[in-house]
Amino acid sequence: MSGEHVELVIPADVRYLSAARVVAASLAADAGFDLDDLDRVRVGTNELLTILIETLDPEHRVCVTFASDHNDAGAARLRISGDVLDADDATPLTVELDELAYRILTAVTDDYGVTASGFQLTVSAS
Amino acid sequence: MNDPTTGAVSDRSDGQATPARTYNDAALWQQYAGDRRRSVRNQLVEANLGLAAHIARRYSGRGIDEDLRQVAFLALVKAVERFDVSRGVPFSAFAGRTIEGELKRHFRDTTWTLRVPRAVKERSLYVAKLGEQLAQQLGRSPTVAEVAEYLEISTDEVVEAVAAGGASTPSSLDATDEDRVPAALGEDDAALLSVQDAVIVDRLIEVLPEREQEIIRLRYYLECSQAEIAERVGISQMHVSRLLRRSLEAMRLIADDPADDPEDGGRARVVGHGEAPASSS
Repeated sequence: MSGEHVELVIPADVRYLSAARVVAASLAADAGFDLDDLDRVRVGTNELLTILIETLDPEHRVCVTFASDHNDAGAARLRISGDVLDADDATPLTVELDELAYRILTAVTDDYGVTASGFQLTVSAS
Repeated sequence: MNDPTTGAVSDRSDGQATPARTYNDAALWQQYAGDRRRSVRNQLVEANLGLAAHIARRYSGRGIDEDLRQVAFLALVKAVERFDVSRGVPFSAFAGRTIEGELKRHFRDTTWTLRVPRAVKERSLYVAKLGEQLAQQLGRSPTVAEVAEYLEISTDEVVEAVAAGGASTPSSLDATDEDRVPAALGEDDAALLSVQDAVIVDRLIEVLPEREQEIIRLRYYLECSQAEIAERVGISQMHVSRLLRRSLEAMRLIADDPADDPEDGGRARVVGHGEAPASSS
């Protein structure tokens, strides 16, 4: 991700989800998101990161990248992506989204995507 | 009547809520607390969908509003993720409170009432104040978990609040109580718009950006759900919710300012899409 951004590298373990959520929420707060929008950032990050981590072995690491800018309408926007570091051949090829995940992500993000090697989501303040 | 604080209800397709088993599988909650697996989370959410639907229905008046169902659903997901089984509180009680809170906030944001922005710094003030009180009571600095339990918010939110307290935009000490205390100035009853109101509202809508005009018309004139609007406009449902709230606020500000319209200085009223019950607790 080009431009000014923050990177957080965490082991692929759900114990580190809160670290990612807190960083995401902190940056969203700094960008001017209100609590409702901040909640969307936190829920979306948690969902996608959990989905990704559950496909990985604990020895894997995920680099979560956070970048804030503005969308076309001038509203603050936070873009978050996760990339699996040291991915190997054993990494599953596909990630299936269940209905709950789909409902959650559709409701809280502007857009999102997830594969076996990473995820991305965008949330704009409104 | 089913009491959401004591048990779950099933979500029957005929719209009738019937008692169902209370989902109180401690072992499953313990498992989720330990490994946070989504498959377990999903089981817990699905087992309690009836509870969320039941509460949403109570706020829907006649029929079930898809937006309310969505709000209740997301609130349920958050409740499952934040529930601490070790506190000994039944999940249904915790979730019921969470879901009702989100629904009330949804009404506040999408009806013709004054909305006081909920800022992170607001919560940071509470946390800072409570931290001092707890420190005095305990004789030591409270833990994040203690503050979270007392305020009934998540540990993440406490951490955020602490971080926000040190942010570059300090809270104003000059803010008045009026700035902080929510107040409902309008009516959110389900009455139809009067002809006069409709004329005023039509004029108010025209000051909004084109996209917001379309969203307002889709929501209040064509009675599309937020999800339907999201699909038509190409943004997320939550974004639609935010835009609706912001548009209503903008319209209210103009309507409340007699200088903007000497002849029609009175406040116009835009009704929400449902009626909050007089007593919901």
